Amino acid sequence: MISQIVTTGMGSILYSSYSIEMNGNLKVDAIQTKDIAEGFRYQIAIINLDGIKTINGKEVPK
Amino acid sequence: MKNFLLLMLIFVISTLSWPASIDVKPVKEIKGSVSDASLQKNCPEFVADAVDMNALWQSLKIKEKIPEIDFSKQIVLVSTTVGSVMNLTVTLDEKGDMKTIGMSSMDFGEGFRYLMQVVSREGVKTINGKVVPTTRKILPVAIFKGTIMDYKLLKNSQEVITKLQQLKDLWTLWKVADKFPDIDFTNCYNRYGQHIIFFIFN
Repeated sequence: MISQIVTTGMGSILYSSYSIEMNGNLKVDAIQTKDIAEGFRYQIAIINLDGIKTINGKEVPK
Repeated sequence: MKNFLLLMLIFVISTLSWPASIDVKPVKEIKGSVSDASLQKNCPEFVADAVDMNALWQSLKIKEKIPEIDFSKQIVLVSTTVGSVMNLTVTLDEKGDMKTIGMSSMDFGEGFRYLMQVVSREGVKTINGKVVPTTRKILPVAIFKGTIMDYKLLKNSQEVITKLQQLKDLWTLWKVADKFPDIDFTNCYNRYGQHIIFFIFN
């Protein structure tokens, strides 16, 4: 979950995956290394939202 | 007597080797006709989530609204025929395999006919031997990665962006090295070209 990612620190490597659940929820999972590196890492992913109703359970902003 | 015993033996063997199955009645049926025969190949055997249902709807250019389907409890079986009439028999065996047997008329109409049957997902592990997924991975259209040294900039970030200006602001704020992506945000809420920017960070 996104909220967990924000609170887990500043690891040097970040990996994310995206999956569609049965009810049209886009589930975003992220894994990061436990080490702490300067600043923060980001990923910007462009996702086609057709048919997606929620993202990690929250409604898609309009 | 011998014949009777032989028949009994065959019956016992057949019941042991073939899993018992029950007939499945659809909760809802959606029928229609598509004049473009080339679209028939876009029809999957079944649809297990709302996103795939939306894709199928667009692909077949169906004008009616997509019916409400609770994919956490239901699945949609899809069958097609070039004939004018079609019927589908559905069974579920004790191993959780759902089997579909389609019958259609031998005549040929323009394009093809489709039959979508909404059935309960309960107890269904496979459909005609194919695993029914509960989730499926998707790949983003594009991904941009990087490091921002100033941790304070994290405060002004959003998880989800759906407007061009928001993305431009972020690009400028973070001084992202990648070239600004060419995304058509004008179609952001268009069912045929909806895109979103999603970013995560640590």
